[in-house]
Amino acid sequence: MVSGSYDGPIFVFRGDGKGGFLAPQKIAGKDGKDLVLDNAVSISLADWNKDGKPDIFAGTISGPVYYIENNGNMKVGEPVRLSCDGKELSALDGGPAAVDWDNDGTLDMFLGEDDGALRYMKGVPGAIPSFKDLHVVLNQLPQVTDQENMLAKVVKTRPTLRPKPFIGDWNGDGKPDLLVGDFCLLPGPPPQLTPAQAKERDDLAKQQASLNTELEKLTKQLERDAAKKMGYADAKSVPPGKQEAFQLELATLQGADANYNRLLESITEVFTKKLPFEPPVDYHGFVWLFLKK
Amino acid sequence: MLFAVAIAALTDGWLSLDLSDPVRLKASDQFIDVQHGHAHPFLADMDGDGKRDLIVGQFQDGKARVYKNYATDNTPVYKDFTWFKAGGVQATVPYG
Repeated sequence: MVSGSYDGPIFVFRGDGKGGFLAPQKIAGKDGKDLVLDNAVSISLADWNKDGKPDIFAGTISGPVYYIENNGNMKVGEPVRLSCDGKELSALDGGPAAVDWDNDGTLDMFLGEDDGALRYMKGVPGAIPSFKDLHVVLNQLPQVTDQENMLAKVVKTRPTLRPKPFIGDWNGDGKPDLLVGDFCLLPGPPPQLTPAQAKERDDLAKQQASLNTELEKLTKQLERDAAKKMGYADAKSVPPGKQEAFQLELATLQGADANYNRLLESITEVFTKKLPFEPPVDYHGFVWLFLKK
Repeated sequence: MLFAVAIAALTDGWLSLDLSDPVRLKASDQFIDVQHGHAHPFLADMDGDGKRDLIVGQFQDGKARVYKNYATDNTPVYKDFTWFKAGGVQATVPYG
């Protein structure tokens, strides 16, 4: 068995010949040092070059996905960055699973990503793996402020964040099934509050709403000011090609506005005071099964 | 209604790969749910009884759980789990 790790090294757990496993060994690069691609390395094993030795496909926290040829006896080749449709693959917190899904003799790949997306791509025959025809299996999840509450609803229907795929025949029907592990943030049980604490929480919630309204109003004013400085009537009139310059102008005005900064500080202060009265965020990791029909 | 539409938009893609709608796997009638998330599943016969067991890596302590398959390869049933061991001890990898 082979495992990635958060810190980066890749660990090989060799069988002891008696049904158990030996203490792990770290894979070394050609320089003899631990092979570390990045943090949060996620591994899939599959034999790309059909030499009878499982090669390594590795996702990383910062996005690049690598192929590492297995040369046997704990020796590996140089990591090669993988591409799809001619572009370098990038998946934050990537989780690859290499498998010949379409049974054409070439390994294909499933690739999970931080935002909940899971993609499938077909392998292109060659000495070095490459892929084509990116297909979305799971769409990315929306970015929302109440992420935990959103995930609490989504988790009833599909995997959530950082999907880690594995392909295997789960029900013994001879067809490859898709298993997916995830990272799911859900609201924990609400704290038991005294009546005084509940009142304090409600008062803070009102303050928070009022400050947010004030901030929204001021932001709209600063957007108008930034647009006018660039020669436009309002923010909506700024063309797409000038959006980057507009955002920079807006950030400059916000940074220089004492009232804006006071509001941000107050919002942070109220948020921090209210936090102990809110349900904590719990971390979960579920395992999902998609049976092949 | 708007949320229902949003959920529908999140749940398409797998159908064209001929995959059925997903279900969360259970052990002893509870959803398998690993500590601090980041579940990473794997199937292999870990105890040499000829049936595929379920191994699930987790973030907490860099450990992996082994869910023994108590039934058959056609209808796996999981109950409890043991921690994956190597070299006679609970195996861990650095987890940050």
